[in-house]
Amino acid sequence: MINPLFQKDIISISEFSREHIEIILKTATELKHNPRNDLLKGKLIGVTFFEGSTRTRLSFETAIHRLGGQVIGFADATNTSHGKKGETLTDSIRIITSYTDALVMRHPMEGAARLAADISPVPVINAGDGANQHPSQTILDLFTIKETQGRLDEINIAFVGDLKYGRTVHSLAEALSMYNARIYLVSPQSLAMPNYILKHLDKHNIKYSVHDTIEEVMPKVDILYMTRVQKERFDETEYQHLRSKFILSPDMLADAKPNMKILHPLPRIDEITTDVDSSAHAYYFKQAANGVYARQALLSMVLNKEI
Amino acid sequence: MSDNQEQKIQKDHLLVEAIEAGTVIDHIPPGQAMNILRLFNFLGKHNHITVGFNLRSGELGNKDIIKIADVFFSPTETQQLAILAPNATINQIKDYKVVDKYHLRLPHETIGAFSCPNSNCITHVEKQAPSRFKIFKEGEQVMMRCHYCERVFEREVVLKNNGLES
Repeated sequence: MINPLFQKDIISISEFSREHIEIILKTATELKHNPRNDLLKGKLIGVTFFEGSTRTRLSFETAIHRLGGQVIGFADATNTSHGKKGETLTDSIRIITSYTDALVMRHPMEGAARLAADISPVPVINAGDGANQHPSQTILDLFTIKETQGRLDEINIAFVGDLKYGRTVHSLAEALSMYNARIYLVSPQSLAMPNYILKHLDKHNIKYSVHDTIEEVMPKVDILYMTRVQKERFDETEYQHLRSKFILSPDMLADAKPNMKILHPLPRIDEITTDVDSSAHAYYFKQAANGVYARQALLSMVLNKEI
Repeated sequence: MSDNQEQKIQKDHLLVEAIEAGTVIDHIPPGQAMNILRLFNFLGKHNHITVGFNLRSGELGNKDIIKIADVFFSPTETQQLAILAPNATINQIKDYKVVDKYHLRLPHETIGAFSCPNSNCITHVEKQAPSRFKIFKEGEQVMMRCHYCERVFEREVVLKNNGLES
């Protein structure tokens, strides 16, 4: 298979074409059904989390171990020279990438991954840079949408919750604009989708509409993409008011299409009640599990000329 | 040249002290000369400077002009200048003569010229990462995209954030 990602950095979903995404998803599917334990044999990967994360870090490490690779790194920057002694990020990256064959990095500041990629002699995979990009999350979301719907083209998808600060929904909306999606936006006005994303959708002639409640869009969508409305952004009264509109419970699923699946980048707090978990529509835990295959695909493509 | 001709030239032109060496920035959009002085910190230096505001110009209606002694713009500084005054003309003076003259064009990129308006951009804490913007136009609007944090700003937002009026 021709591999366009060999020795490439994975920083932003905006750099991927449809062809790239198709090859990555095909690789992820193959690895899910036919596991390989040799694709990272002899490779050492730096997994450096300058900001804590549970799923992303563990799924990257799982992906590396399952592909036969080895890991060095840290789960937070507190005890690193960067976090403790004030070493510049540039110097930290120079050192770590002189030890490893690739670098997976999360950092709380936007643009940190691009900076790392500019100075690193080995490929860098962005595992989240502040509110900017988290491309492996977008790949796992696309993988899960394709897995559940059999296609990516012309999906009807609703984004629900915090659409202002959620980089996950920004990147996924951007990616789905290559696939002529129909997008429904459900959020409090104060957490609405930013204008620059709406502009991007306009530029690609993507049809979208804004709604006040989940019930309005429920019968129309193939994917209900839930996100967490962060309690700390509202006063208690306002938050309680919003709860009723942006919390998903089983009774709200009555009008859902049979193929409709609920996704969520997790962690889920209380925006999906736990009794939804047993519904046939709930897919968020399988989505999280797919994170391993999506990351296996990215890592194996970046580090193997041919797969 | 006859006396009459000389008088006519004196009437139509701004008479300023000639400089032996330096740069004349002509056809600056009105209002931008002050920004250029601020951006390059010319007011904090001791070079001879002549500035004209809102002068008559056939091309722009009005224009600003800056004549500064002993300053020559590097390619990077020329890029910065072009963000503020994309249609300006640069005249380089040596031995009282114009030795080079060229029109500015909007650059494709600026490096280290303007800080990023996104306060959480890595360029604000990492000294080894000078701010860097890709420049492009949406219609007539000049847009600037941060190389690092990927945010896209209208030119005026970047200028305002850098203490420059648009």
